[in-house]
Amino acid sequence: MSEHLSREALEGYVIGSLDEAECARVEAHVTRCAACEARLQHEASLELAFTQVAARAEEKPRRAPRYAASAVAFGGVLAFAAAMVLWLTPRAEPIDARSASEPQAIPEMNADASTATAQLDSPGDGAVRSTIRD
Amino acid sequence: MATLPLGITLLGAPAATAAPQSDLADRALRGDEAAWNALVAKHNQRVVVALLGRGLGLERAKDIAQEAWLRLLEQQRAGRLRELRLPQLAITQATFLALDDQRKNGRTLALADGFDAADPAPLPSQQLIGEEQLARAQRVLAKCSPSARKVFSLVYGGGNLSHADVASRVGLSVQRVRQIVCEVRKELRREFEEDGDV
Repeated sequence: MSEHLSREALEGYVIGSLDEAECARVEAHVTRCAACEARLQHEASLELAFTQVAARAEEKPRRAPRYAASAVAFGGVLAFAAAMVLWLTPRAEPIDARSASEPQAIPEMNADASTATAQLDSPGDGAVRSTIRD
Repeated sequence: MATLPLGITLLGAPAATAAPQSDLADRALRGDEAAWNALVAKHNQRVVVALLGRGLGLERAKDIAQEAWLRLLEQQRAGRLRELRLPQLAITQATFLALDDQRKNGRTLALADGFDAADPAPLPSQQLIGEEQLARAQRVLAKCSPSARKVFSLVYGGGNLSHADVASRVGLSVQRVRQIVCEVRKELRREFEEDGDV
């Protein structure tokens, strides 16, 4: 039995960098040497793993721009919608400085957490009691 | 050295013609024997290495690779081959044959969890290493130079480029591309072998 194959030779075989004669030499040895065959299988399994690593590396840069583009597009639609609302909404009356400085009424909360009772201002005839249930 | 009935010589065949892969595939799909010769010469080693990586011995891997090419030729002659994406198709065919061999002889083939024999598509990229190892490998790659990452991506990515193709794309010599592949391999190997992952 000749000396075992070097890692470089086995690596060269799996990455395809050996010439025909070198390939034949590796194969001739491997068919007679179980240890080197196992080492060759290991090198080959690394090749498969590296293919997987490269596939993952390719996935990530592709995903980011797609999400980024979606976010930009969505943001643009929101900005346009906001601009349209502002443009179409009638101009508000000047705010009374006194009432603006008063605190807003805080809704009353019942002990029952599933029910909230709020005192709301009605533009018509006085306060309207509104009950909201989850 | 094995020879197919069409005169296709496996392993050690003269280098493939310089014709682009798509042109060769189109010609092979039309039954051009020279195109088949060139495609086998170009891709057979990848098929053998894929089988070795799944635990087959060299002789068995070479036999199954040859059988896979014959099956593809038969499919082409029968008009059942509409597309020829290589080497994936040959690797898929070979893996199926290896699985069949496993069933008959009780051999073990290194296949990923969740491998679906009815769907050959996932085969080339099936999971052989876990998420944690993938993440560690990504960190190793991140430490490499941009040109090394580019070379690694082109060599191991889905483009199925030869080292010569990669060299022309990145403007380096073939020798330098191979040197880079070996350097990146060394770093990744260290990462994988520390925990005996692969």
